[in-house]
Amino acid sequence: MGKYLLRRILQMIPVVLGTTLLVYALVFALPGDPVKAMFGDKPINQAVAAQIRAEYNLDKPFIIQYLLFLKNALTLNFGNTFAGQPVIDEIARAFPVTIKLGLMAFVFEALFGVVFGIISGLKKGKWYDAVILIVSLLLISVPTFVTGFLMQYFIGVKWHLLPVTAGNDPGFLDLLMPAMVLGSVSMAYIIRLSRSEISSNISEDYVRTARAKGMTNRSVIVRHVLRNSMIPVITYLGQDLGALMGGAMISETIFNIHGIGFLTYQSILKGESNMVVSIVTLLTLIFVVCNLVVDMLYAVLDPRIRYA
Amino acid sequence: MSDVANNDIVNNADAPVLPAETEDRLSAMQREQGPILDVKDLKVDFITDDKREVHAVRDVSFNVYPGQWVAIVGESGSGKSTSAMAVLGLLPGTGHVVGGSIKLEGKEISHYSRKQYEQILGEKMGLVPQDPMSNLNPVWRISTQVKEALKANHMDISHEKRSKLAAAIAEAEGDINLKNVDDETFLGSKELPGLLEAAATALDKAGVRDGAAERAMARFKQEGVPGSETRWRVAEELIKAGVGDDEAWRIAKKYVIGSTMDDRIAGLLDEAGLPDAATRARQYPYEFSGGMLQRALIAIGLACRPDLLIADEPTSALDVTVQKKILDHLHTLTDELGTAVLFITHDLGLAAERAQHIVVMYKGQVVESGPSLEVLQHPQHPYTKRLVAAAPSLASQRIISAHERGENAEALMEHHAKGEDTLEKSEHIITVNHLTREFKLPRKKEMFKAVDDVSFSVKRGTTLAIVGESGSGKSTVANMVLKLLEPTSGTVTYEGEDISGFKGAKLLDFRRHVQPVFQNPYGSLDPMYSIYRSIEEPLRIHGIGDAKSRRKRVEELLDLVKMPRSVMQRYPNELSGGQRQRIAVARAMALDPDVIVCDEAVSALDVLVQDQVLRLLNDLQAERGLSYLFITHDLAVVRQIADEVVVMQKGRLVEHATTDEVFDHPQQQYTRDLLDAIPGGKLKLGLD
Repeated sequence: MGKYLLRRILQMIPVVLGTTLLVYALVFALPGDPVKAMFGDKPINQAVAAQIRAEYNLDKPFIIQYLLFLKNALTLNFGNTFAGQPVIDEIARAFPVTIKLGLMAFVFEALFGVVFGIISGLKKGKWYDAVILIVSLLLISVPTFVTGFLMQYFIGVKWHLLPVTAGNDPGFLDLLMPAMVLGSVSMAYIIRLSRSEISSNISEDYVRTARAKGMTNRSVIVRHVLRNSMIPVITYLGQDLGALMGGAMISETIFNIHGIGFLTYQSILKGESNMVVSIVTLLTLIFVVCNLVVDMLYAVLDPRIRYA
Repeated sequence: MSDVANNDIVNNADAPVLPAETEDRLSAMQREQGPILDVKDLKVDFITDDKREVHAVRDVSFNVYPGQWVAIVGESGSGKSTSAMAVLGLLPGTGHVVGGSIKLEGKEISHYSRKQYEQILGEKMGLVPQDPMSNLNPVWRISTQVKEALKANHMDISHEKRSKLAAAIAEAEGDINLKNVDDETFLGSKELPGLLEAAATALDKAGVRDGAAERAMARFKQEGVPGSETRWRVAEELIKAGVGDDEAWRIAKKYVIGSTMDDRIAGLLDEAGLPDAATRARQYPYEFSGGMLQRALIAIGLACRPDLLIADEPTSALDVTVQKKILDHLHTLTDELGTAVLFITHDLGLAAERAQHIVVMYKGQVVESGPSLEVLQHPQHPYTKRLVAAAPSLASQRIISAHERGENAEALMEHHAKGEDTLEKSEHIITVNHLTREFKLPRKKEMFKAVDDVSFSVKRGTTLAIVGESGSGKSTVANMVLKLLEPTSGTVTYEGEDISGFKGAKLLDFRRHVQPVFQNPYGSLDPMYSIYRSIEEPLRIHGIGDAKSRRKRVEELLDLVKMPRSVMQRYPNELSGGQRQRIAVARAMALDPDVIVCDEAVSALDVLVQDQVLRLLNDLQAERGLSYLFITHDLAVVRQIADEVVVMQKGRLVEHATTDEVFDHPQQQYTRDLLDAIPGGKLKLGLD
């Protein structure tokens, strides 16, 4: 187990190096000159422009720029934005908001996904099973930004139940609707996953054996049906946690939340390569760690899986 | 159905060893207590997707008396398992009882709700299910799953519970000691060392020394299983070894003071025949073999000492040798506990060997029932006659007994084995030379030799059977002969050419001439392919004929395997296991091969279907001079089909001779064990 863990951690190095290089290259290849953009409508002062270029290493070839970034990143110096602020400060300001949003979405999708999935799976064929199925199918097929705008219009604008947008330093209620929108698709997947797992597990032979032991229906369901059905659901949830952190871009834009997604979007527009690459590196790390945790959890949940 | 038929017959050596008077008293007691299970005119329906009712069980009646083994025999789909599940209230899916009555100890239970069933399941009725691999939850330890049964019924884990029958016998025998609940206290693992020490001292004091004392101590160590051995038995053992009555009881009372949950679980598993039970209980199902899992399931079924155990094909998924061991064990155990057993099986030979009473079911109805030997020797219903004729165990038994009577057994064999001289003369189509295959085991340095230096050859137009238990390497040999697996060393030659060099067109040609039929007809046909496409595929791959001629060929092949041409447009899931296996044979035959490798081709099938497929293979061989390499664990089948037999054990070839030779003069103990394991081997057959 320890050996396996070490191997997995070492595997992260090439993954992180690979993604940073790729993202750096993509931002480098973006059309438009960020320095020119800084002058806006004003005429460009060539001397000043050259100075900025030198300061941000923009005058050097791509690979040198990338290596310089890496060198600085190793000492946790991620450079400055064009506006002169340290990248790390900007991320530190935006990240807590995204974490809050992501966790809320996570709790939302896990709770409602599993609960509705269990109801649906145990009561297959009942009318509410049909309703749950149709709603989940709708959530999966309609894009998030449509769901987002619809909820914003009805819940926020028309009925005034929840704030329409979040803005700076959002609280729980401000983030509730965005979290629901963010978690909705995954929730629908979890409903369908739990439902199919439960309905296939309930006819397993070992469930019948458990009943033959004289166990109560309740403990048969909990210990033999739900326990086994939750293994893939938990795996899915674990991987989704990483995805939620990075995938908040659309929700954050719709609801004007100044989190990581919003920051990434802005930085791409401005060609802030340092910022974009730093964020992506961070998200990659989160994603890889989440995956590792899921794999470890998997071995705990299913004794048949052993890592060597 | 006769009430007392059960004990009129003691049909084999495994039957309870009871003194004659106990025997009489037992049957008297059984009559007095009335049947423990009384099923009358049971009707069970299933509802199809389009809301139609399917009658699965119709007017089925049978009963089981305390301590009796009753077998329900029939092919799959005959409603035998459905009847058993109806009794347990565990009918799958849309199944429900629509009529008749099920009485357990005189109480009607057919209308019981799930809650009411929870009360009687485990405690009054236990289940040993069919497929050990799928009947234990993979995520819980074995011990946990045994514990669930004990907990669900609030079992007293420190005292043995006696079945009603055993209690009644004890009472009738005036054995007052047995009625005292304290004497049924289990030995705990904590007290075991103290007990052994005290026993040693007591033996010494009683003047039992040296050899006798050592033997007695060895016996104590073997018998003293925590969670299973009771106080009175400890006392009894001590007295038997020569310790005085008072001293023996003093020691027993001092050291046998009850067991913990873990002790009891280990004790139950030990009783079911699981070696090293205390350690193994902590393992997960995937760490167990099929036989061990079945033992765990027997422990679970008997954990709460039910008066009735329903064993639904408990050993059909297992090797014959394991099957015998497990059934022997189950028999002894249920006899000791006084548990009645309703035994579901498709093998009439097995049923007759184990049960006193047989109920034959066909298409949801009981067609015949009566005392085992009566049914076996004088079958009345045509279906029973067919079953008797088809059961491979009985068929080979018939051949053997004909041999013994000095009659010509030829007429009884479907397959006329080639004589010694023809075998000598015919040339070898496949020769296997010093074949060895090693596998790397996880976390182990040394290689595992699955096949170890095996040599034999298949002669043209004959059948060679490879026999052995699972894990003996026989399927690995088959895969190497098929060139699906490369040997570590050694060679396989086909028509004198080493197949290891075959590539490209040459390999394709080899594949055309050597075809497999695999064990599982459910897994070896692509569910997304129509039957037509499955059979036509080899023709298409080898570029034989055009669409029209291929279609004609497929029709011919379906005729050959006696399937209607109309199945062409159907899919595998719409066919039964036997039909699918015939399709698999048709597919194998499509390219007119010379050799067919049958890897347990009939093992998964019911006896009647098995019989049909074996007949088909025989006919094809006679017509086309095919050679078969037939892999099986069932010697009974071998007798019907093979000319030569190769016996494999742990990767090595241990015996190689003609079929008659192997059956008449087995050289190895292992071969004799395999022969002994054929169910029904000890039965006396009537003149049929």
